[in-house]
Amino acid sequence: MFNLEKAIREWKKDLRKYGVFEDGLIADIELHLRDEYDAQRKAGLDEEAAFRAAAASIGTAESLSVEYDKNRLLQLNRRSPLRPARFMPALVWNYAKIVLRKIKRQKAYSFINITGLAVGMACCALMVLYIHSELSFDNFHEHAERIYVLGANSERDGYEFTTTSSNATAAEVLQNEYPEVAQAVRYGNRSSTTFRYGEKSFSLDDVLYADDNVFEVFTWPMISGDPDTALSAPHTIVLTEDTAEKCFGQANPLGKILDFGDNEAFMVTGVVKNVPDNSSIEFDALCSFKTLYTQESIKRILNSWLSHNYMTYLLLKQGADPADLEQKFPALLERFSGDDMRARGATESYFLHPLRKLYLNPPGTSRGPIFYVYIFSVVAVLILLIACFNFMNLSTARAATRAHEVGMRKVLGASRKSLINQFFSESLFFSFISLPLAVALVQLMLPLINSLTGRTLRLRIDELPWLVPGFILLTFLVGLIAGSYPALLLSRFRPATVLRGKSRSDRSNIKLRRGLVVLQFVISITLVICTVVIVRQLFFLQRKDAGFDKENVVVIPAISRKTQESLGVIKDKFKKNPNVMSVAASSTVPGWGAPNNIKIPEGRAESEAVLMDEINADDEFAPAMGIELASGRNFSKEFGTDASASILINETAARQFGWENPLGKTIRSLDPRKPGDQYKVMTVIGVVKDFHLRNLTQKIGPLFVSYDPDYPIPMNFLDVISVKIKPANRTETLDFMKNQWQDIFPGQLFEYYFLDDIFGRQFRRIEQSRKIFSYFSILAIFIACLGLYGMASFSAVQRIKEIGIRKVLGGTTPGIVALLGRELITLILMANLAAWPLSFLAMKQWIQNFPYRTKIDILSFIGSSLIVLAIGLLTVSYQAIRTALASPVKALRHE
Amino acid sequence: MVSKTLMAASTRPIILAILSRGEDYGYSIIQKVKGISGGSLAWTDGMLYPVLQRMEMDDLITSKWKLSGETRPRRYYAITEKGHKELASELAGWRNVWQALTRLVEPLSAEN
Repeated sequence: MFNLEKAIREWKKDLRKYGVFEDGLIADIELHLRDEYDAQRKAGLDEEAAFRAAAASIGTAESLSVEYDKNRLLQLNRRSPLRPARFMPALVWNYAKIVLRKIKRQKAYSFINITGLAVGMACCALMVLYIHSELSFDNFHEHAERIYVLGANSERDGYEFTTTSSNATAAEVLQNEYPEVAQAVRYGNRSSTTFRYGEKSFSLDDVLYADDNVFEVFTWPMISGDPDTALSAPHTIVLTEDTAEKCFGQANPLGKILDFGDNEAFMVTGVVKNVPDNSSIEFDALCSFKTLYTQESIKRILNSWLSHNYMTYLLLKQGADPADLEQKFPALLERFSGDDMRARGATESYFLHPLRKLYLNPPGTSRGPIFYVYIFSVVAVLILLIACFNFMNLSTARAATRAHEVGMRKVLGASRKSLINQFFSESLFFSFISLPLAVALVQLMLPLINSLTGRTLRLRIDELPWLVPGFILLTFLVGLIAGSYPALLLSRFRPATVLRGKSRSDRSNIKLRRGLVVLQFVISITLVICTVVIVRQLFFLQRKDAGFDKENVVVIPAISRKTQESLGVIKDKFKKNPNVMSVAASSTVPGWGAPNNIKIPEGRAESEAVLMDEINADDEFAPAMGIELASGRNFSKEFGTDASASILINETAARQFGWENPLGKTIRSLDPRKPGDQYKVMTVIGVVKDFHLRNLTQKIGPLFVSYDPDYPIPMNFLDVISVKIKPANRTETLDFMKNQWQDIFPGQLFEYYFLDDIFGRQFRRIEQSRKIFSYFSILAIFIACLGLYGMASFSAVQRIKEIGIRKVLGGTTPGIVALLGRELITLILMANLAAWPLSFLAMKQWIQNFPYRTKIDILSFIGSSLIVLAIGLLTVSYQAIRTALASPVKALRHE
Repeated sequence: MVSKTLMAASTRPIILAILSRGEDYGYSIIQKVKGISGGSLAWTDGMLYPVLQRMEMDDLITSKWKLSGETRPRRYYAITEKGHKELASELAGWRNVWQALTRLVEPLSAEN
């Protein structure tokens, strides 16, 4: 019986024998066959005859195959000859596919790479943001490039100093007589910054006096008021936006009167925008400089050429050379202060320092913030390098697994160049995947960095237009650095060698990988040692005996003249509380420093005058501060002369003057109540033990303590109240004092600080460095350990058979863990060899800044190395233990 | 009957001419050729398919599998822009040959 379908199947089988018929072609012809078959059936043929007729009409398989074969050859000939293209988009997709596959298959490895790169990039980006903000200091002034501060190098009494403060008279002379100077502006600090408006009292951080042309020289954009006239009259004040809002809310501040006490009132004549973070000149309000000239008491200071109480900024004319101007300064000084100087045996020279370098590189200090900018830049680059090393390390470790791929690609015609391109595009791919993560990390870490640095760094494209290209550049750079070695190494494989399963470069590879791990740990250990040394120095300074007791002292600063008159009342009222131990009045407290003044010790000529720190303080100052007497007695109300003719000095002064028994010796001091250089003789009644008046980073100088309740010059007013309280019931005591204060001075702000906070402020910079170093060491260790973990897991996989055999032959688990850990210990020990001297040199440099410093001892080094070693061991041990515990059967079955 | 050589030369223009009237499938094309020529153009049916494949390679026609109102899916061929141009130039060629031939033959018959 004829079966059509079977016949067709046979017929198709026949066609397929020839190999040139694709399925589509066969289907096409088969349909033709069926159509013809149908037609023949209609014509009356039986099934078999119809099929034969249809098949015959199509022709033989052989003749058809000849025709199709011709077509196939033609197609082959038409194809362009095989030639590697310069750029094959299809290949790029292939590379991407391979990376994606790699990420999917090797999750841990990819996680380590991407996290490491992202953290490294984030650190680097944060540092760049920070450094940019540091470098942008004072750049916002339109004329920033032409503004210079007038500084002086002085030598008085064998005491040398460099300062950027100057007298009040030079500015006028410079502006009027020197053609290079377009404008000169003076700034001066105002000590009393609390004022009243209506019923409310306010306290500001910084109030400056400034000349009326300040708005022509500096860019302090004025929101309301006339910049030309705002500060031209005495007792006028310009507020910043925030200050204005604090005082007046939404009301118009112009024309309002602020009452600073002591019958001193200022009229608000303008509001300027807030001072940017990156300004070295900070203020909440500017008072007219002319106001100073209305105060009789300071006229002498204002007219003296030898004082250094104000800042003078010069705006030079376009094209003027500051060096030319500096050459004229000696003549200027000779003209105005030559005789005075010679009389005192002092020398002085002026110089100009550019405003734009004032913050980063202040004159007279070897290590301004620029030092930290350098350090942080280096740290950022190091962390980025650690991250890149991880990538290199893991990629080369995996080289063996990719050797076959490289071999195949080469056999199929890939050139070395195209392989290098492939591996570079892989590393770039990784770095671009890390980019969003890095940006997110930066965003996440910005608040932390801001709290550390006291800046308001932000990721804002509108503010920093270079951010996007910067990030892309960074990503490219990371991709290129990280991919460089793997690309060069992997592309060098010879197909004949690797396809046979051998890789000759394995040994040098291992060396390199070890080298990279060592380098990573050199960086990590160095950072940890630096952190430890910084912390130790900080503790050393914090615990160092400052010579006074800073605990439980409440400091009420800058009270007005009127308040000073009520000092007796305040003392009485405060002392009613049994928790108040003593109430002292003084011109300053330790931590705030004191002015230097010229004094002539007994037995010396006027030309042998010395500079001494001068404090004015009452009889309760020493007990309140816990300052001990080495000899003699403290001031006392019982001795009437104490208030006019007695002084205390410190041990340093006695030593410096060569006085073995200083009691009863005299020191001549300028009489503040008499005009000109008239001296007053003061007798030493006591010697206090040395204490730190400034910060612990400065040596203690000779000290002169007088007790003058009505001192006529503001600098030495008794305008700071210090209250020593008992540690118990602190809050209640403070509430009590506040109530008493408000009783005496209704409506006046009760503002206070704790002495330990004031004195502790000096540690802020070190504290900052400590925190930044700590965070970065943690990050560096984290990234290095990520890499270590990756290496450990990889070597565990590679040595799985070896370990299996060892176990079969009786190797114990601890023995195998030790075997795997031994390599790491060797590497970390090697890293120490480099890290120790490196960090020692760096820290020796740093610690030179401090006159009182801790020893850099070996313990810090051993401790730091042990910490890193422990973390490293912990990282590896997980892998090692897992490998050691694995069943050898599984390991050896692996084929 | 048409000679083998002439048949080979005319296959492509004929297919193009048929497809210029609308898309069509293999079996139907053969039927049309047979119908129009009254059987004088007798192709081996199977030979059509390599020719169609070749014309597709040359971008003269395109093909698409379709199920249009019939039970069997069929590969429909359609003429392309390039195919139209090719047809026009083939037609011009054939006309020239035909004119040359007729001019040569007609005067001879007139003289007779």
